[in-house]
Amino acid sequence: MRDVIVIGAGGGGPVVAAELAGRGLDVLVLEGGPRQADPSTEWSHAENDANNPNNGFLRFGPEDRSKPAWFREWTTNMFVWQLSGVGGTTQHYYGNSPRPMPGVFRGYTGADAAEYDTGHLFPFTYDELVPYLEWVEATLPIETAAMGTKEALTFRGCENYGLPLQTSRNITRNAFRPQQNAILQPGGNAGRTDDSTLLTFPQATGCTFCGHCFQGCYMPRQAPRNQFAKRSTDNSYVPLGLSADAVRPGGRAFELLADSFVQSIRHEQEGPHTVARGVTWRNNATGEIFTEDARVVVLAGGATESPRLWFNSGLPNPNDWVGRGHTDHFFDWVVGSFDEYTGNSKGANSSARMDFPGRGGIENVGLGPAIQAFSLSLSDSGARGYYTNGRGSTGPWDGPAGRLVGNELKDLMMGGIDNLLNFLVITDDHVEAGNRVTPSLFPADENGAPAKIDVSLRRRTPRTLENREFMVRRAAEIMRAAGAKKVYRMDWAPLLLHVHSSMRMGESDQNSVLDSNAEARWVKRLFIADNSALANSLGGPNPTLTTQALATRTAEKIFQTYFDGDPWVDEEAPVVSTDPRISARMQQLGL
Amino acid sequence: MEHFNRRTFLTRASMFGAFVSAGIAFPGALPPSPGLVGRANAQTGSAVLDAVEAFSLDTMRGLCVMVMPGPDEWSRQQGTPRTDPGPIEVGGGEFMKDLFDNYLGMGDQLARPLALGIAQALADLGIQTGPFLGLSEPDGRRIDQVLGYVYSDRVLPLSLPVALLLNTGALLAAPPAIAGPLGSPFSRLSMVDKLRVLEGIEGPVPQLVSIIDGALPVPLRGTASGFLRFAGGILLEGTAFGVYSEQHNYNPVTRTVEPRPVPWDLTGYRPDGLVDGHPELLGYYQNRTEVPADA
Repeated sequence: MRDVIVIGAGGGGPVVAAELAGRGLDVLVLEGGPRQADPSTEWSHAENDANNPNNGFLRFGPEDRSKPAWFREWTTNMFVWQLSGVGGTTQHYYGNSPRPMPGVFRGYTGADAAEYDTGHLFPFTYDELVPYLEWVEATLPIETAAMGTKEALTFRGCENYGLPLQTSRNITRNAFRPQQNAILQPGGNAGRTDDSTLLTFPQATGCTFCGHCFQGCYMPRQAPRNQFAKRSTDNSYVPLGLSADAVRPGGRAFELLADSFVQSIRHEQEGPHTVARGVTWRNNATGEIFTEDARVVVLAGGATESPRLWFNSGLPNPNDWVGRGHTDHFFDWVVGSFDEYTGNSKGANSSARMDFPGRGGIENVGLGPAIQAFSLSLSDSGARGYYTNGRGSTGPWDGPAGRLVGNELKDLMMGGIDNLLNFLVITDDHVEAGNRVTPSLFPADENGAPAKIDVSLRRRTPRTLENREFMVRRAAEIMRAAGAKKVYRMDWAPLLLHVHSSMRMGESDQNSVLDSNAEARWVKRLFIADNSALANSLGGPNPTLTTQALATRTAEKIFQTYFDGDPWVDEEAPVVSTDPRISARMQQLGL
Repeated sequence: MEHFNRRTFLTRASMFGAFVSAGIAFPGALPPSPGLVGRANAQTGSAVLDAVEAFSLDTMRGLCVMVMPGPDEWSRQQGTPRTDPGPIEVGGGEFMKDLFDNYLGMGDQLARPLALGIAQALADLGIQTGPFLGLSEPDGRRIDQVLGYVYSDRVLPLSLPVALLLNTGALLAAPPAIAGPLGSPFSRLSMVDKLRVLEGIEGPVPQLVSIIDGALPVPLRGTASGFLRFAGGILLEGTAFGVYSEQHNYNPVTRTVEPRPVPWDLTGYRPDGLVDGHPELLGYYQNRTEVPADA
């Protein structure tokens, strides 16, 4: 009997696990994908090697790359960039860690209160979350991004456009700023040389500006795992949890089992309540099936896999909201071509952002040629100059929206990867019940029915549609103000990276799965701690920081409710995940 | 989009029948890819499989030149020849075929019904799939029979149903493409006609997919066709990802990229190869290195 079993070692699970391990609980973490313990010898900076959906090291599949990836059903023109493994999607994120918009929380009284997703607010106030945001910001730690050429160009565009500078962590007005990133700032030789022999730890610390965030971070080479530049959870909360006994009095290191796919959450009826009792999982390498009981189960498989596991476990769904309300920031993509060098492929991949409260945000994104070409070829507006699918809108960009093909695409790519600048439009995407995850009718794999993801570009609320158009116009205008000679709008088909709220917490039991403690309304002792628990799409900011702050709060709720403990965030100081005691313990463990 | 509605679809049947009865050759002109077909032959020794593999590969090559035209026959057929390097010489077709063929590890549960649906749609047209695939009549009377004969219950390459979808669309968009150079009707199309095929797959009312959907077994009706809509979307972006990547020059054993990939030269990416950092640090905007929690 464990105290707590956490399902999934992605962006949220290790936060709950490390916090509760720090309180001395017996915690088991199960991860369906691999544990890449030494990425410097297992990964590369190469784009296809990392991101090939079939066999890349950052794919959605088991540890053995020669075995097939796991199937998911996608119902339309879309791409779900889902991956398994310790660290989950944070293995390849950009570390962007803005706070959520205050307007998406209960009790917000600003003049723009009506501009947000008021039907799907968080069931507590923004002020209540702030201490948890600060706790995570200190733990990771979150730092203000350094600037490369692509950021300098972005800031120039913002200045020329007349946007003011945001100087606080809280989002208060239309403004731009350097990103608050989960990336350690460059020190020593980092950011100052391309000579790899000068970029080993400790002569280089923090971000080396290698430009490969999307291929996972193992820079600087020879740094202890917990001092890799990007604070993905495999570099931050997992080392913290594995060292819980070294950094907290009474702490107890959690146990981590990778390549172990949870097939079901075991439960039983206790009076009128369904109660979670434990889990059953399968070792991907051997096929062996294991079961273990726990006092509390924390589901953190991600916005796609958490609903899948719920359905496959036969858990109750009385209001039919399991898997519903899947939001994805309704992305769009604006690309500018420049006569001057932009530094597109170099540096941390996104270090500048613009926020528009009530509408969403925009951030710059740097890419290598493969994903750049992918990004220019994804659209729901057909192919520029050929067909539009009834869309192909015009605006402050050049020509109609749509993917580039043939000579136009090749000529743009041959203009130089480092003469392009990309803006990602991240819309305040209001919760829409029809966008959802359900069990697929395709044949089950060894872990049960796969997930069917049905998120339509067209199935959005009128306000969401309006928000996206507002944002993409601003993006094109700022790109022009930055000096682009030509501006392209893609009208992206759904590209699911920022996924939220498919198991949402909410104020009403009519349209939510979780109560305000993140405990399942209809299954006691079962909590959810990944992006699927979010009440909405946060108004546009990238979700990882909020998920991690919410997971910290959830850990406290678990500790208070089922282990008779006291909360700690207001009472203690966080342990910074770069702490040398963690480095020493990781070295002892050979990790 | 009118050319994809069912009435037009059936009207065209007589035209296809005329081509077939006139005995127009279906060349299968593409020399088989040594790697892929060699691997397949090692498993089956089947001439039928060779023909199917060559047909799929040719279609994937026709797709690759849509996102990276080059100095090759596929680009010339498409009407966009160039002198700079393209995807054929870096194995773009093989890459895409491999991507589709390994996408599903669950066996033929998906690909087989899709192929059956396409076979039924082609049967409605009066097109005998034997000549369509360049196979002999006994081997190729019906696509599903080909599939059953060749693959039995083994994992089925998804590239074939995808190729069949594109080529069915090709025959609807431009019936004369049933004969000509290269090894598949889709590869014989102009860029404009290729994009008409994709429009038929991914449009707001995906009529090409709906024709196939009607012939699917009931449990998968609407489901497998949804998958085809996804496949229609991924065709170009997945291809673009592959042909602009290092895939052709990456050695997974040494984890090195050698020789320098063509797309890196084309785009000016990493002139000195993959390195661990860049002298790209300019400093901090207005020297702001931190934001106090209470600011």
